Amino acid sequence: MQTDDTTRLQQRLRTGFVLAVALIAIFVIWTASGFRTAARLFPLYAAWATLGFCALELGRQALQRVRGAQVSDAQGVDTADIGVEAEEMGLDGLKRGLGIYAWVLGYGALILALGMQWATVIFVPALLHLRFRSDWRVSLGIVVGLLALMWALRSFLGLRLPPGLVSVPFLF
Amino acid sequence: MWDSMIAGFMMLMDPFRMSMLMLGVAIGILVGILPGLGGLMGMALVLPFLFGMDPYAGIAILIGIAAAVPSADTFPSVLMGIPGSSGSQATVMDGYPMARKGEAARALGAAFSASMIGGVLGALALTALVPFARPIVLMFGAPELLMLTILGLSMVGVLSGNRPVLGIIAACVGLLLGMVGGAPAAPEYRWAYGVVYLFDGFSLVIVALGLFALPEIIDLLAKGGSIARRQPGLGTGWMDGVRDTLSNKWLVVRHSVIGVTVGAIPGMGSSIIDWLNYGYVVTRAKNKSQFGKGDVRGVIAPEAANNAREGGVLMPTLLFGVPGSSAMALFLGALLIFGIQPGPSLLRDDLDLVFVIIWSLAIANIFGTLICLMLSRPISRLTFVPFRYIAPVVLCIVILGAWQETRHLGDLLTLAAFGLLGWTMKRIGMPRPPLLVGFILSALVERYLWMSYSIYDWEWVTRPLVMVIAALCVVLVLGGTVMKARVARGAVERAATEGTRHAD
Repeated sequence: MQTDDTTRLQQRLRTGFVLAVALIAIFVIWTASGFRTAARLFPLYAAWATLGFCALELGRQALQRVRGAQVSDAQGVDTADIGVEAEEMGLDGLKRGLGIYAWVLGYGALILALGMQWATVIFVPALLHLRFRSDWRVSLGIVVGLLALMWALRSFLGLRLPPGLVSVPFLF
Repeated sequence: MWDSMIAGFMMLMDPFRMSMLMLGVAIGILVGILPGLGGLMGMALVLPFLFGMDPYAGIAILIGIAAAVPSADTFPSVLMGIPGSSGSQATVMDGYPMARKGEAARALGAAFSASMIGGVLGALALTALVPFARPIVLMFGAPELLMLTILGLSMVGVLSGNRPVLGIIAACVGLLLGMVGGAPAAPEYRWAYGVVYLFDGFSLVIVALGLFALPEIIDLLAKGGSIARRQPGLGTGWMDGVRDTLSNKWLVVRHSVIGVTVGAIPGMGSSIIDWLNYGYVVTRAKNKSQFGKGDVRGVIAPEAANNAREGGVLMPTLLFGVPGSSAMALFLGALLIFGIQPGPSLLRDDLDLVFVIIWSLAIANIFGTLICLMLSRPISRLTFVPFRYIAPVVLCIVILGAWQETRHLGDLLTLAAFGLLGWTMKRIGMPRPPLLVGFILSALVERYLWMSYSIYDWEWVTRPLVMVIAALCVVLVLGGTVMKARVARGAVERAATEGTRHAD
């Protein structure tokens, strides 16, 4: 079961998200007026509908706060999405997730700089060793396996690998 | 017709053509297992090698790929929570929770057996409908197609669980995101700000990978451990899955029929059919408590439908030369390369070829799913490997899959942006599937809305078929809402009863 703090944090983040969507809808309404009729019709309808639903949701959330009620998402049946586990919902889970996202961004930056192969050679051992304290032999095995996979995809399926801005030569 | 059916079968039984069909199945399984590389990608990869080949053999390869991808894409959906292609997104909803409960093999067994039956039923439906399909498809004009897309959007209510308004807002975000780039009905680029990458809008593959794959990788890495938490039932679990499918035979038949019917309508992509069927099975089920937590019916219904769909998408492609899906557009191109003109003349002059295609579809579905079934046990073991060892491989494949879209820096940036959006939505309890449904339907709704409005003004709403589909939308939305309210009331009552018991 979620704690009150976790539920409150989730509700605040959700309010922020809905507000951001409302602002985007206002931006769409504002900028779409310059388009031709055929390009303007649907964006205007969709953006007004978005704004209406955002207002409805913000109103519902405000009413809930005024009443002091907190509805736990654990109640009732939810078929909406794959859920986040309770222990990952809190601030610590949020920080851990953002930390991993930063690692993923780092991998992307390495790919853009050095290309897919060198980025993989650097990223995989770094992630496994620095973050998870894994055995270096396992890291090496995964790197070799990934390079073999890339080679196979490139050779047999004709896939292209992202090249880097710095042209560092590689084996294949 | 019977002569052509037998002649088509005999033509396909030629060893070279059969080996090409099996090659297509193998390629289809490979691209299906790799997230982001769907049937379109597989067909695009082999197309350059088909020039000069025997047309029947070339067609067999392409149909082999088209038939095997909807089965093989179940592997990443169930084992990693990542849709293998756009047509297996809904399978994640229950297949992945099953894998996390240690029932990966059962989920795969159910999915593959449902896929096989669905695929064969799709081929049978195509056979049965060949003589009658033309008048049916001609009944659908732009207003009816608009209403069908709105029917798809109305499923958002069902897909939004106990947060319908949030689900609708997510669908609206999808609609807004789908408007970026060239307007479908006017020569205008919207919100592209001169960035060439945005002229075609966001790619569905990247949006899907970003929304569903990256958040799952991030959360599993952050949590640590393996995908599955328990290890029971792997030994013979796949046979349990087959038994699940057989005990839900009418569910398979019903969703195969839906898959074929909706698939026959051009533009209704595999993802729409997938979600439509998932929404429908949730709406119709008496006991909904396990949906989203590992209900095998949530795997069987979309899997039967997306394989049966291949029979449906072939109908407009072969009968009118109107591609039923993006992959079928490529197939159509291949037919033209071979000098075959699809359309009514194909039915009149070369019915044997139509049956080669139908037989290829049926046989490829059977062999594709049998191969997947045989592979399911060893591949299921992947779920018990610590995820930190799988994550780099999955991340690498996701990035490679995204990169193949346009091979532009923008692919990686878009993937990162949608990854953050998906992760944020998952964390704050905003349902992600409605966003994807809105995104997919955005261009279609706009195109059909404009066509209906410019041809009929607002009189299109009075067309009989439009009213029938509108009534269906209302029934589905109201029915779904009433049933959800009942289920929620039941859950609250159960919680209250348990609370009283604990207090005692």
